[in-house]
Amino acid sequence: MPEKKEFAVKILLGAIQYASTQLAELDEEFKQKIAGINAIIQWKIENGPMAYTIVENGKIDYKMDAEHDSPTYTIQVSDLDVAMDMLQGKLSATDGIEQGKIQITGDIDAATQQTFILEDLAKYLVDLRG
Amino acid sequence: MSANIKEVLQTKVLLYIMGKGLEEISMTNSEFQEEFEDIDATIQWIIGDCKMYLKVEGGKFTAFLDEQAENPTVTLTIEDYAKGKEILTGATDGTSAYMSGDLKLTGEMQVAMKMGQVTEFLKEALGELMAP
Repeated sequence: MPEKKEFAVKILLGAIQYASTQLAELDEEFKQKIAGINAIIQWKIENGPMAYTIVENGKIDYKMDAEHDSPTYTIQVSDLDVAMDMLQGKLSATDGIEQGKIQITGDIDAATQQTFILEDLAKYLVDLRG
Repeated sequence: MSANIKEVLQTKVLLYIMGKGLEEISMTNSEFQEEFEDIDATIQWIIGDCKMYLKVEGGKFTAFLDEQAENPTVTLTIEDYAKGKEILTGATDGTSAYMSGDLKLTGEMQVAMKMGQVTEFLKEALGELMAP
């Protein structure tokens, strides 16, 4: 049922955004890693939800169901299944890009340097469901 | 990586999934809206140091992350993060957790019982995201 998957992806996308804001407050090491970063990361999921992440002054914020005018880079995910795998940490951003399931447009260097954001989150959330 | 940060972050994310999940379901699912249309309540969750409350009115749910309600109708408290995770992922049901003393309730018991029903809707809507 596509609506059901879309629903789950939307909740998961929001949960990941929220988790990154919280990690930036809880984890000193992570806070230091994002300290010098100023970036707007736009998320676009084909037939699915949209959101953007704001990384600024050692803090992270996000906006759901919104498109930014000039994001630093955009993470475009080909479909809901890929989004589900990526957001659950089953597919790394690097593998997704190599396999053509995820496309990055904009500042590719910044995107490459910032893959740690998702990787660090995945370390904490890997066994979320028990 | 600190064990405590992991527990706190996972609890916050699970509270997000439950809270925002219910918020979305209550906007789109008419069966859900009918089931809860007569409930007017504020349900506070406290797991370890993590907090979230749900405002329920006319079948609509609104989630307030990291917040304490002023006068909650019912408060569900779980001290232990691991137990909280079991309950939020559905590995342990609320009734057994209450019976074993892991889940403490204050306020209107009837409202708390009614909230037990939201788990089924969440499982139906979120599928593998909720299953442990």
